[in-house]
Amino acid sequence: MRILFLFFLILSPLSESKLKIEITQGSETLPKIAIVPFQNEILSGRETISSLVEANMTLFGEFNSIKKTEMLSYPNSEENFFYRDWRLLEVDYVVIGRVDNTDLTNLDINYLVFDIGLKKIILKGDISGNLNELEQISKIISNRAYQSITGLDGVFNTKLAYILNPNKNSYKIYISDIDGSNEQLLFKSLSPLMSPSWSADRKKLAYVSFEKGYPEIYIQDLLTGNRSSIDTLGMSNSAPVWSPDSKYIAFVMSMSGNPDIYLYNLRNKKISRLTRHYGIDTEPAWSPNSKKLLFTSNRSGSPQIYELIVSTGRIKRVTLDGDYNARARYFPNGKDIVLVHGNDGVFHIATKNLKSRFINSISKTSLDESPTISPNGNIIIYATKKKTQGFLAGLTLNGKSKFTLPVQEGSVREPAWSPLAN
Amino acid sequence: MTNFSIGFVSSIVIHTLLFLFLTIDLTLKSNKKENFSSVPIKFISLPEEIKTITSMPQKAIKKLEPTVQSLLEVNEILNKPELDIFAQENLNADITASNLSKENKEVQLRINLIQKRINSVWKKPPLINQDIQVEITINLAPSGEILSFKLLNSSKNKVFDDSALAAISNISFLPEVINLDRRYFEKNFRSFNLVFKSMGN
Amino acid sequence: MKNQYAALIFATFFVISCTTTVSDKVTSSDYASAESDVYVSAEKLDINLSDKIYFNFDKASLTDSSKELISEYIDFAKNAKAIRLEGHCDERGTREYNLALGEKRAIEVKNYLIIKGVSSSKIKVISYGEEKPIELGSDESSWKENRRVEISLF
Repeated sequence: MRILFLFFLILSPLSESKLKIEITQGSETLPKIAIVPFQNEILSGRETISSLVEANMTLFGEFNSIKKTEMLSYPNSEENFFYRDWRLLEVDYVVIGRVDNTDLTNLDINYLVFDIGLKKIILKGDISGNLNELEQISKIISNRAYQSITGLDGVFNTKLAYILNPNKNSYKIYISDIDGSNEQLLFKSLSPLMSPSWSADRKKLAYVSFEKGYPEIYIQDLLTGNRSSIDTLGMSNSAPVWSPDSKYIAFVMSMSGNPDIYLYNLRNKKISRLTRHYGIDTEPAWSPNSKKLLFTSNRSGSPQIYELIVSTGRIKRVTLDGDYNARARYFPNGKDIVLVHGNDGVFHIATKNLKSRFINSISKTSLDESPTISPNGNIIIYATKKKTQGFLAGLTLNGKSKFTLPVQEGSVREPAWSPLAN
Repeated sequence: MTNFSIGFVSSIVIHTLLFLFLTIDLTLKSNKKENFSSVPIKFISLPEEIKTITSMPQKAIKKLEPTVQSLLEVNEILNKPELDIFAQENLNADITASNLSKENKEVQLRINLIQKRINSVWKKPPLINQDIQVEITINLAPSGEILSFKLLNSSKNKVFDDSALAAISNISFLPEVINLDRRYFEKNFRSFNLVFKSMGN
Repeated sequence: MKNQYAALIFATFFVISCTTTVSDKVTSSDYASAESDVYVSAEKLDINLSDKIYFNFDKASLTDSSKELISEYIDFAKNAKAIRLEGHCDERGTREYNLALGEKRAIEVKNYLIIKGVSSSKIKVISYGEEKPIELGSDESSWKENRRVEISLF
């Protein structure tokens, strides 16, 4: 027995002392994709599906792409696809496809996504639509491809609502595609407009309008254009946010000059009060499960973020550092928040984990406001200013990409990212 | 079976303790060496009584002839009480200990280079604040060629796992191990694990 | 041996059929637009006084010089039919918070007027937050001008 014990003492078992090397950092270079021209995709006078998909995939600076002219082959099916052709070009993912365009009212498109590193197909898809729907078709293909590559939902068919203030007495609300195309005017007024907010089903937009001489919340049906306001007996109200479960709009009402958070029940139209404090309580934001609200309050002396549990009314302070923390929004994971963080007059977009004290500034421009998060949680678009012009800027959460949005010139602000289309 | 595992565990524990003991010893030794050689220089900033001696170099040299006793006195003046311990320690160099430290240096250098190489090719997916990891076993030839690799512990996230596997697929060679002592290679790099982590450090 | 082959074949089939095909159909939608009625403002009284009270950043409190200026309004205010106090902020910080801050500023002025004997039912308070700046620059001289309450008598 003892000899056996000693014997094993001397022999160090190799498997238990096996070397483990940790890899925590990724490459600084972006993954490279190739969208091969689809077979039969040339349809007179239209942009091709492959060029539309490529524009989508590279929109937020998450991928590098290679040009058609750099490609070594133009496969359109599994049979004529050779991984070697793409390995040589250091491409990571390839999208190929075929269009059956014999019937222009019902185009039939098949596509494949290849992972070159692993030498396998990661997605097969088909989609149909007519000639006028090429953009939507490309957006859906882009969503599918993006999802198979990153594991995150694609957001290429989501919309952006924003306010335009081209000159002193002109205020407009627009909705556009996320790439800035297909702009549609929703509402225009000679008085200020603020705080656009999407309903969970994407069919309605709530916003603040000063058309009656004081701020009031209007709900506009996007398909019909019908507008209605929340009846608060002539008291000013603002900052509307729809609950994800579509039961309430949380908003701010100023009773006797004291702004507090209230709930508007969409079913029975009843209003209930959530905060009672003589200070400023404003900027509510719903948690993804509709159970909590973040809000801004200056009850401690300066604007800070607080969290309220709707069912119990319990309030907890969230931000402890910095002289100005406001306009917080939850990420889709419900565990992190994005906010406007100000210190010594400089305002950045910042993120914070609810369980940690640390506030992490992520934007470098200095008059930043109104951050809105993509529904997949990966991109933030916010409003900022250069000279006297307001414009929209964006960045990916891993910090590897920054971009500005090609929306209209002339003081764009308050972007609101729509939920995902179902 | 239990004897076997007791043997494994206790041999690891004892090896670790031995290793730690010997490295601490080494650090002590090197520290002392520094202080020993720097004492004459530091002597310039000593308090008044001793400063007067500097004007008489020859006498000073005689007075400050390093013996363990005077070292202790100087150390007290310099306010470094921990040096007392060093002065008393057994400073016989252990050949096994210095060899162990040489292997560690070589291996650590290779580890850093391999990390750098993989960092530069791993296309980390845009995961938001999920703390996950995937472990992959690599089998290397002494030429640096990756003979095979396989998934050991999945992160349960397919895209994350795939990104790690793709990174390794894209490197067929780890030249960092080529001029490594063959013994060190066999012990550490013939077969080792890469742990890809979503959250840094 | 046979079992292994069977397993291999099974696994191969599984892998081939593993990549299921996704199918989509396209739907499109268009949005309708609307326009607001014009907001008409009433007849203002012309008074030869500065109509602006200024404030410090993120503050709604009145300085002594502000109080003096408001005091000069008292007699006019007592005779006026209505008094409108419009609160504003500079562009820094967030919009909705500034909407509330502008209101607080206007209310400070209102409360001071009430202390000085003006009837509260005559006073209307409204805030425009940072939405209607006078100066469009991004420096302290512009911001200073925008942090204000505008007094109008009718």
